[in-house]
Amino acid sequence: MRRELERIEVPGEEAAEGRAWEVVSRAFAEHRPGPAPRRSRLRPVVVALAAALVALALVAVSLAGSRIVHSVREAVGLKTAAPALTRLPTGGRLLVTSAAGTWIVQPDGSKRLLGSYRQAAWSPHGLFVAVARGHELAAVDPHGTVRWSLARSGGIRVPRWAPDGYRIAYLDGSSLRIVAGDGTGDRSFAANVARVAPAWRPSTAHEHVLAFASASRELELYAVDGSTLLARRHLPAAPVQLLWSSDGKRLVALSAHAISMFDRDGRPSGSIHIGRRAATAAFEPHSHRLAVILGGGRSDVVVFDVDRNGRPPREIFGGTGSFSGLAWSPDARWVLIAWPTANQWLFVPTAGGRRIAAVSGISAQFVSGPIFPALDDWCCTS
Amino acid sequence: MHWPKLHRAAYLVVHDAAAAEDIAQESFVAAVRRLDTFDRERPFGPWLHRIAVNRAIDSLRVRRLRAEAELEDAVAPLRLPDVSDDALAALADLAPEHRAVIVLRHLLGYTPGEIAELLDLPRGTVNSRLRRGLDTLRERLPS
Repeated sequence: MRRELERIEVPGEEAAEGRAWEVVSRAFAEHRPGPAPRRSRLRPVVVALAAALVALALVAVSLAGSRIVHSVREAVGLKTAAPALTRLPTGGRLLVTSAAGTWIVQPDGSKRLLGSYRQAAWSPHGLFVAVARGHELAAVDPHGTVRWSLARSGGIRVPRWAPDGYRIAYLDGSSLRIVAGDGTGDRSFAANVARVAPAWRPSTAHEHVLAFASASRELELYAVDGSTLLARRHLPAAPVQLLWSSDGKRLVALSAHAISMFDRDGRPSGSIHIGRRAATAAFEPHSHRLAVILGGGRSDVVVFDVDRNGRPPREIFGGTGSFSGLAWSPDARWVLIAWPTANQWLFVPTAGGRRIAAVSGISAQFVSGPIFPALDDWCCTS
Repeated sequence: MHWPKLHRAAYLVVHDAAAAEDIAQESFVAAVRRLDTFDRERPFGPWLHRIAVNRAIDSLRVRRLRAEAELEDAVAPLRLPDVSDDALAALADLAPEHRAVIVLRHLLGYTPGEIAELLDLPRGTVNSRLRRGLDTLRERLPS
């Protein structure tokens, strides 16, 4: 019987071990041991692991290094930051991806690791998560159970659910592919596309209109079920992000120094030139206001009203170093800003009367090591 | 040194490569976080195996409950991978609790008494599950 059990092939065994070592070694490096019990005697495996990882920690953080980090923190980050995430300031759930994988953060601050995925996106009502790692695309439930998965030869990236949950668009290398929400009917849709996440037009009808960018800087808008081209526009610069407003009436192509705006059918409606480098953006729910991270030495989050081109943007927060991501709460009352330089998250209120809530030690809380966790999305009030 | 057996044990119980990797990985991370409470007079392996096998069984229970609760769903029900290996197919026919004791006994080498302690079960229950599980496997596996 033992031979039979040992003979069974375990898929992906070697690769899984490599991934696990990264995660576990980081968890050990972050572990702060309590006082040792009396008459304790560490077993050899624990001694070996502890010695190896403590040595790494000592090399990485010398006394001089600690002083430098402290003085940077005096200028970077909020001093009033809470040491741990104990709750979200409002409803919904966060989707976060770190070196350890993809996490769901609940309103009470509790976290669940879905798996060692690299990218993730909520389904329209937060019932499932589309996840990608390497050559694999999967749909998982919020407990991490895989509902279906498929593999492709290119690298799978940026899965995106259609508004009705019945389609998922994703990139496979330089190809755009569409699969049904239940994992069936996977097909190639377009070749030579830019490495920018496609964006489905929000809709209450069962239509599947998708915006994506070609490698030749064309913005393309398709009704995918009939492969009907609705619009093709040349973009002045390579886009870094495509976004729709939540009512589906505004489409934005964000590039490093410009916001190009289009209506629901892809007709140009103006552009805004940005003097500083734009990193990422997000539409405020139920509005045409767009929050954008501007970088270059220091970072600022500013809000443009895309219906009022020419009006200067409103700044909501600025700080030293870089901001790596932002997400609006589902009720639009907060903006979450990821601040890797400070190793903090900031929950910034969008209306008066509330204070900024900061949380420090984000990397350790998501077992992320030197790579700051990425904010994927803040979804759904139910 | 612990990973290969732990990962294999998780896979044999849940029959899902992605879930097995997560369970094994999370078990190690959980063990790291609980190092302060670990009684260092005791061996490390059984402590780690207990965490992993219990997580594997919980994972299967949740999966079953979810499948039963889904009424309207745009996502297809869970499909087990195509099984071509006779032993894996035979294991798949066992209930998760029977799989777990078979794996602990015959892969990880625990005695029935140790299994009872690991899973917090009466020894008689462990013996019964082992007997029934082995009988089923012997019927299914080619001699």
